[in-house]
Amino acid sequence: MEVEPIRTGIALVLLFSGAFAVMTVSGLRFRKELVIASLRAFVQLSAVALIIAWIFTHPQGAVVYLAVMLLVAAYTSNRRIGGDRRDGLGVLLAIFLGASATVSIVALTGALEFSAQALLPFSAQMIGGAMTTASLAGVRLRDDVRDQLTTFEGYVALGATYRQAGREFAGRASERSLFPTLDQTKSAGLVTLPGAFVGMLLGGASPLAAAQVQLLVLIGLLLVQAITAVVTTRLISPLPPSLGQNAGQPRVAA
Amino acid sequence: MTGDVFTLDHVSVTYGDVLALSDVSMTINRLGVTALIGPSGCGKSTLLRTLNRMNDLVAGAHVEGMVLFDGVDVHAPDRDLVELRRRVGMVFQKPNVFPMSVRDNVAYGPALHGRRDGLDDLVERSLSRAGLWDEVKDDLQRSATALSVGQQQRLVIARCLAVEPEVILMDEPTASLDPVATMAIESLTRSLAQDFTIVLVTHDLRQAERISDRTAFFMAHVHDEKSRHGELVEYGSTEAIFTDPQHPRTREYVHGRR
Ligand SMILES: Nc1ncnc2c1ncn2[C@@H]1O[C@H](COP(=O)(O)OP(=O)(O)OP(=O)(O)O)[C@@H](O)[C@H]1O
Ligand SMILES: [Mg+2]
Repeated sequence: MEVEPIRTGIALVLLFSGAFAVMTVSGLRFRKELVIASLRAFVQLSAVALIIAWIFTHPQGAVVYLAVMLLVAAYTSNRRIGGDRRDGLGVLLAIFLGASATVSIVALTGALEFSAQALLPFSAQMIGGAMTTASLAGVRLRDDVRDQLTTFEGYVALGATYRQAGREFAGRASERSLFPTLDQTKSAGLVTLPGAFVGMLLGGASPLAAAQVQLLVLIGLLLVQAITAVVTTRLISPLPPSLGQNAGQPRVAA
Repeated sequence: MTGDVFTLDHVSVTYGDVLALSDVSMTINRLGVTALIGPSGCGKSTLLRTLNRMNDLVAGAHVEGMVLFDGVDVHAPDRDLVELRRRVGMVFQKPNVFPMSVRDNVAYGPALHGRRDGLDDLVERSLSRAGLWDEVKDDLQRSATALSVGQQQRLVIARCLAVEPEVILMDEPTASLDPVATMAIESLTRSLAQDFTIVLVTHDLRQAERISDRTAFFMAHVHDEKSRHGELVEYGSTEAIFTDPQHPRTREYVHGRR
């Protein structure tokens, strides 16, 4: 399927104006957000398209692109968790381990061809999935510990370090961070048509090919997220930085 | 062995800007039960939690002054908290059993400290010592959360005994128990006091009178609506505190409440 910039442009203007008009007529607020969101999507996707087009002709660039993506994912996720620098390193490692394990399997089996065209978007999607899971699992862990602080204190009072005590909460937090993807995988094709599938069909691929790629993405995400959740909940501190550093530090002024 | 296990020297505790406990100096003897009594908010829990550095888990908590355990500063920068908390165990107001089997609850501490051999023996000994063995021996794999609250509190004590501490801190251990379960914990505490130093926070004056050897009476010093802080008013043998208190405020409290 070929796309034509001019026709795309016309369609986009009509789509945007339609949304803007509906919001105006019915007096909905946040029209400014609509403008900003649309402009950002336009600028960001154009930029990404240019970069990826460049990478397709210079495959070494893929490494840099993915490295930057990893860093941004870890930063975003760690900010959501409210972690400090050390937590951030843990999150980075968790995302890296999850994504690299999955991409390695898909690449080494030859399920996707060993090219930037195939592996770059796949890796990007895996990193994105890992980021979501790291945030969910990390936030969950800290929420659970805060909600069950007396149990947490029970472990600490027996001589457990905060991280050892946190490990007792890690399993539950990991499990629950997997629910969204498990649900999404269970309902794939029933409730919604997943993104890769739709994209491949639009791109002219056969439905069977689209289903195969979509399966690699979905099951790949399960592996990414299992690894990322387990590693995140074991590497970050179970307590927010304001408390997590108290142990072992001098607290006496006089 | 006799002598002082804890020495507190001008200890004050603040939470953020709020002074919770002011200028407490006292010593806690080895063995027996030392009770900390006084009205709500006078800083009993705060004091107890400085002894094993549990206040580290409270945002903004800050200790001034000196707390010595066995002659060594509890707050020293290089203090090994794992060792401190192994030697100074804690039992909480609400029995906080772990969501695992009865056996695993008791084995958690020793396993944490690297013990691999004789765990089952240790579990049995600890449960027996806590007076719970006969009630749970038939099914050690059952979930701890399925026990009655009174059994859970004895399990928490067994869990604490399993790491072989020298001191057991108890913060209102019977507050959530019925009278029968309370009696069980009280007689257990009495018997443990022969081998362990027990520091017991209680708001139940009769309980302090029944099972403690020494009693420290704390009271909140009220400045105005918003600001008040706890102070140690009087400290002595339990008998003296309850029969012949020296301070008028102690007299008012122990007599007024009975
Ligand atoms: N985490 C905290 N943050 C701020 N202030 C606190 C905190 N914990 C306790 N305080 C304050 O410190 C003072 C002493 O509290 P503490 O819990 O030690 O009293 P207590 O004698 O154990 O009372 P109770 O009998 O109700 O358990 C109180 O005024 C309380 O409001
Ligand atoms: Mg209290």
